[in-house]
Amino acid sequence: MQTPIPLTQKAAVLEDYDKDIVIKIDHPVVQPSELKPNECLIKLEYSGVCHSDLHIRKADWSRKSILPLVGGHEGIGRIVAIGDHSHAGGAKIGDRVGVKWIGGVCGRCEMCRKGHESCEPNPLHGTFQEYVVSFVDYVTPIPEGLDGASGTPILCAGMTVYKALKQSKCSIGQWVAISGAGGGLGHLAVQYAAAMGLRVLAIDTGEAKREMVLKLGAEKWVDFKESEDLIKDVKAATDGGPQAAIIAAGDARPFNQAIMYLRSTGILVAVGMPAGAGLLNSLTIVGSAIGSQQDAAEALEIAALGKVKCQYEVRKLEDINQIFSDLEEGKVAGRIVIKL
Amino acid sequence: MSEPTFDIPKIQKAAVVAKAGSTVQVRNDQPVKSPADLAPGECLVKLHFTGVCHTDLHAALGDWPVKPMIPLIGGHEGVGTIVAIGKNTSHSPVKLGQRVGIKWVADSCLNCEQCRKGHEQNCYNVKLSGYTVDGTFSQYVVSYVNSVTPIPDNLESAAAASILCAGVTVYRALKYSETSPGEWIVLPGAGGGLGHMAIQYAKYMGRRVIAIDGGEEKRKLCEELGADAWIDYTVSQDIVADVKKITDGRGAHAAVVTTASSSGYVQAVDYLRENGHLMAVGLPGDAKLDASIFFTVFKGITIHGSYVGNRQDAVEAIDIAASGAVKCHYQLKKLSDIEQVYNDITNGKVAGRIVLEVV
Repeated sequence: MQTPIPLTQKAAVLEDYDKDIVIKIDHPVVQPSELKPNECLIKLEYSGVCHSDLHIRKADWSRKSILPLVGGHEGIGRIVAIGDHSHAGGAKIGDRVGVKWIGGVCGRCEMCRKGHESCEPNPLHGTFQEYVVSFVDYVTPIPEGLDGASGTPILCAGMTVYKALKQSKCSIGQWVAISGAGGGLGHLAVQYAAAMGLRVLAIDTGEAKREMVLKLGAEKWVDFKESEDLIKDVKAATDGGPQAAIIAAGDARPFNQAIMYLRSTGILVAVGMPAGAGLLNSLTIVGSAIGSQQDAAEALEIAALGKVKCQYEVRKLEDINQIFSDLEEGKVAGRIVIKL
Repeated sequence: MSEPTFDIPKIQKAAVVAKAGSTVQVRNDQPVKSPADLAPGECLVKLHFTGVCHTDLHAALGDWPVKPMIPLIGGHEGVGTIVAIGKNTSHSPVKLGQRVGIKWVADSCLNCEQCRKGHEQNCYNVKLSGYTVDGTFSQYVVSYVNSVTPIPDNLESAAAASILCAGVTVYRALKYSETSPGEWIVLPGAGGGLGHMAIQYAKYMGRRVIAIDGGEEKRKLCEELGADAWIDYTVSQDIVADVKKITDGRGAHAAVVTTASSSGYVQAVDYLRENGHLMAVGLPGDAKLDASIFFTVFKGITIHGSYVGNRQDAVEAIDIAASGAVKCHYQLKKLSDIEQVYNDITNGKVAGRIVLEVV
């Protein structure tokens, strides 16, 4: 890799929650000499956009981001530099790797030792820029031949729903309901579920989403806006209720509906925890947040085998404010990826 | 902030096996790696105590299908103090002066498929103490900040030593045995280094224990440690019948076999009840597990190979020992006694464990 690393780059910077994101063309690039041991600099091909990025941009969560902030947490690119004194066993210069929501974990605490890689040392700048800093031990190798644009959303959306499906403990032939099936996570969940031999009931609204999910492997569809009794319709469609429901919404309503339509002993996997719901019917409720390195590797492998194809639209970094607007208005089917 | 400082010598005492089958030699001129030469992530540990494991004997003899390095400094149950940490080590979870344990798995990469799945002991890039990297039969050893196990203040070093291999190994086997409190576990070799700790962990976990071993000394030890029943294999005419008699005619729910020969595996499938679990732990170099395929299938028996443990298993096993629920029974000897210790182990003369003071 002999291409020199520039001193400045294009980046989408959030400086003030009340103002538009600013596109800077002279945002500094962390130089190789500034990289700490085990850090790496990645030149990105693509960055995905996740609804979480919108929540962060709007300061919706109780824990606020640092400011100024370069958002974004789904990226694929090549390592162009590694910090001095990095250990030998991690990723190397030239490797094509993925950057995820969790930039790095400590690897030594109880949660890490148990495989729940959920600790994060410090908030990090993300993938809405051309060059991002990550960690040689936590970037995910990208399988050869996996397209950058369709592969990028696997790094958050894909692995998250894949792991959620693993946690549903469904076996071949069982029904799973996917709430929000036409969205960024949902449409990937439909495909992973179909690849895992499950029968998929897709819940969302609108003709465009209906057509898409049925093409991607959903067997049945319920439109939550048109349905007069969602619980009844879901039960009827799934021979008495699905064994599992993947709820990729933070809203309490789909969650509470799932509690009512799930088959007895079923599992509700909440990707994002809503407030307030009841526990009935020997159900198991699982809060599922992203996944581990192993989940990421498996999710990417399944995508590389062609069993899961992200439906995406490519847009430019300069359109970031419009993109967030569109997400907020529910106008996005599938995923948006930004070419950097 | 003042950090502790240590005087680190250039040479040390160590027990070295020159090549497979050689007699172990205690030398006083083994070089010590200089702190300046430690790579990032490495640490130098001054050892106080080290347990001796039957594996160390296999290493010295070179009689396993997987061969050790030569020349070899054996040992993998070491407790000592960190006296140096490699320059440019980032985010070390341990500090200078901290008391830590060194296990069989000296280091795992945490990046390969096995590590990502939590099976750190099967890491494709694993370093094994006293087998592929220098072990703990020496005064100083190089280890790895991410893999050493901190020893709690209320657990003494000599008592902690054998938890690091024997304890972790039997604890993990019990953890994955898929048994519930009240269920019966057979422990062939219950009086040995691993076996006697298996009794204690099993009792702590609420199981009922059938101890199998030979001789009066081992019987006393097993019963003292809480075994619910005892079978002397040198006397019994029919172990299967004896186990079934103790367990209402049905057989035991699991067996954790820690014997160093195939004898402990004989008949395990027969004395387990339907859907029982056989945890294979002991490592005879050249022995086959003779299990009736018909009965393994028909009874739904699961045979698990259970090999040491990962970092989480080690922390749990150490915490249980620190609570006082598990105490290693050991004889204290010195590093210079190592040759005699190997002879005693070979002749089956050791009840419990031997721990060496590293002097």
